[in-house]
Amino acid sequence: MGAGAEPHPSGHSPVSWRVVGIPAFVFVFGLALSLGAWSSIRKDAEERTRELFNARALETQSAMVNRLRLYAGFLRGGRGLFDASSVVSREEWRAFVESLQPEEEIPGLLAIGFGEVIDAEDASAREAELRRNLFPDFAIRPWGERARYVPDIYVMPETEENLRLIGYDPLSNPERAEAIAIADATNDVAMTGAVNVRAESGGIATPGFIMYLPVVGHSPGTDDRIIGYIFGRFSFDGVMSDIAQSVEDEIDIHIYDSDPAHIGPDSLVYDYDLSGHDPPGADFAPRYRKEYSAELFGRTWTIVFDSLPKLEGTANNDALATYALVEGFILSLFAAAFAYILLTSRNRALALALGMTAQLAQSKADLEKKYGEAERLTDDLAKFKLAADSANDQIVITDAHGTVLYANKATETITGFSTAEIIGKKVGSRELWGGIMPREFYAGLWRTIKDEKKVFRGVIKNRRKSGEEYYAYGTISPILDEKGDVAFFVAIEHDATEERRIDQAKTEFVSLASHQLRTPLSAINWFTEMLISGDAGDLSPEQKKYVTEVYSSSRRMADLIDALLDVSRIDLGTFVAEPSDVKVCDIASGVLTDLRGLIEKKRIAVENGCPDDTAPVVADPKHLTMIIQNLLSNAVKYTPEGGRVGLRTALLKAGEMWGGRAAEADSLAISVADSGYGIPNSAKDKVFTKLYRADNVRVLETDGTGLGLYIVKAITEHSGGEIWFSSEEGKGTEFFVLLPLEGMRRTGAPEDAKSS
Amino acid sequence: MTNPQTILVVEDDALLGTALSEKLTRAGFDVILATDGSDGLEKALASRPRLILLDILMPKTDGIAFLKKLRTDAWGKDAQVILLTNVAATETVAEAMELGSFEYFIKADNTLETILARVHELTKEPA
Repeated sequence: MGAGAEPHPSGHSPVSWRVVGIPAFVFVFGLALSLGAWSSIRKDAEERTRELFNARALETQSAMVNRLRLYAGFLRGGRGLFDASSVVSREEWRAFVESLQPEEEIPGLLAIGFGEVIDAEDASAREAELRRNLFPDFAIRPWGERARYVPDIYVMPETEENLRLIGYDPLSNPERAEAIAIADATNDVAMTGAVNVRAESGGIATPGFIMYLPVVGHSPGTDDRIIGYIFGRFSFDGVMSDIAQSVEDEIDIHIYDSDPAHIGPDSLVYDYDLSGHDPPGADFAPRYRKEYSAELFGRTWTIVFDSLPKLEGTANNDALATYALVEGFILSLFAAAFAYILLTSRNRALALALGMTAQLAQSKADLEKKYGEAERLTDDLAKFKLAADSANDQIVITDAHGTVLYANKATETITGFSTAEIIGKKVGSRELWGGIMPREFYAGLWRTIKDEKKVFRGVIKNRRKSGEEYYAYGTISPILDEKGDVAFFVAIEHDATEERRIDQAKTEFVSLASHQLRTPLSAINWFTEMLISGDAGDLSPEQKKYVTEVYSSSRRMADLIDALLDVSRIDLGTFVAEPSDVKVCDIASGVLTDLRGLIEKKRIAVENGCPDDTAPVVADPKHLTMIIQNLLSNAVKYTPEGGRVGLRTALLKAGEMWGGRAAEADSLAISVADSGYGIPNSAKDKVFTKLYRADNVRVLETDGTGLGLYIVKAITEHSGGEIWFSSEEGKGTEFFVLLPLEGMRRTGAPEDAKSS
Repeated sequence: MTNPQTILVVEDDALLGTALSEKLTRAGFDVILATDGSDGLEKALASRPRLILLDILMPKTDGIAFLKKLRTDAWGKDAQVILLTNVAATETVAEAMELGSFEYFIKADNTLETILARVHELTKEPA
């Protein structure tokens, strides 16, 4: 083919050169294009395989690290048990370990136990004691002179093999002693390097590691001294079993008990190939390798991931590449043949060849574009799936009728149902975790997401497979198609059990603290009261002034504690309504009388628009008082001297208007207006938030609690009512309340008062 | 039977007990002070006061246990009791009411004057 490049020898005519040369050129050119396409597809495939490998390695590595953290967490849980009671019996330890469900929750756990610290001089006495109380043949072993001993005294599960650990003192072994020393220094979990975890119990040699966690004493005499160690013994095979399962022969895992510089056969502690998986052929050289090194609980570990033939094979796009090559070859041949046949007319042949070449180029471009799109989609999908699966919150995708199409891994962990049980079922049905809230709740939810096509946010009570009920913060979003119809729903739910427990503990704490605070406060109040009233002799005017200041500060503190107690009762759900016949005007005048001092001091003009002939309503008088009291005292407090405050009340029939809104049912309506500082726009959506105080009034009035409006809103909503306001900064504010008469008649505190 | 000017204060907090007893003594009452429920019960049955001011949260015998035992006594079943408490737990108050004690004051929210005024009113009524 090089002939075309040479000058014409005398025996060859220019025509015969063209007849051979041009088709050959067309063929070579076409082939070159095809080869270009082929190599570019191969390169993309390469890229994709590497990404897949990296994702697999990252996923596995984080699963392993998380697992070690989880184990450390179990040990810390054990320490919590010791923190809670100074002496933990064998039965308590057993109950604790059983509650962890070690067989299911802690794969690889061989034993979890407690070694007690015994000083050398107490050793024989304590041995004798333990022989009497725990194990008749208890002995510290191996025996030897050591400053202290930490023989295992509890070991669970109490298998025959594990019971052989009783009395074993890990300080006798340098590797174990080293881990204990690190645990002492950090006062946290420390682990040994790879050891034979059955060496002490005499089982089959099993590579694994032991974790130690010091327990510090809290009872008198043992204060802040280490009284023992919680230990967990784990086998590598057990720890890795399901992680290894999940890599599906796509990546090879080697774990070394050393830093990356010293990895080698001596430090190899776990080999994926040797744990029941087919090793790749001897001549297989992995294309990708990733090293990961980390210091965990006092030891440096290195994990090496290699790609396996399955991963390299699955992601290859050889078929597509070959297709491109074959198609290119055939097209090139075709073009060359045509060129040859049609060369009698040089122009036509040339045009045709060019046309074919263009077509070939187009075909390559089309092919590349099509492949690029497909690859991008698979890639994106893989990334999203990885992200969704590693999320801690439950993510569920359903079709437009609520049938589950996808559920991420957290769904399994949170609800206890397996993906297989979930897919294809109706979400929210009793077969799964839902269906235990009132029917109206679900009806409202469906109305929001399906009819109104809006995002639903709220607290949902669910039930795990185990039967345990829990609360979740949920967001359910409808995803619409081009026509605006619901294509599917995405539900993300966050298990709020822990948050709610903490909330409850916090609230109980506030409630208890408030009771405790009230007693000394009562003493301050009463003694200052006696001083002021002259029970202990007359005070000088100045003394009287100061004691009065003490007294009014102390009264304010009492009010604050009352408000805190109300808030904690609201948060605890123990805010009980006790309805009786009440006259709202009596309550309003009572409140105004209480506020008289401040009203007169600030020379505020009060207009009491409560019609005297208002019929009595059935409501809790304390709650109604709190609403009116908080609104009026806010109005007076946040209005400058010489301002105006107005109160209006009315009994409305359903549909009548109040403050621009129509009452949904027969209601008691209240409004409190003032000519005060007003609520700045930036604060308007926060004024009902607990402990929130707007910037402008925080500067002007320093003694507010930030609890008043929160309480008012909670009480109002508790009776099914609503509260809103209109306000302009510098001009004033008007609060409107509508309380349905029916709602205020209800007694008790609904459990889901918080879920609105 | 009942001593018309005697008031029994059952209160475990020494300071609050002192404040109450001084205020009441100054107002002319004979005040007996008890620091827990069982001490209070002994003194109540021995001295038969006109009125008992009773704290609820106390060590050993608390206010509710005191009331239960008091109501089993022939004199004690009609004795007049006012609860003075800093616990506003509704169920505790409800239980006390079932035991025939219909008034209660939150200590931190009420002045000695308010309590004294109520004591005056009650002691003026025929026993």
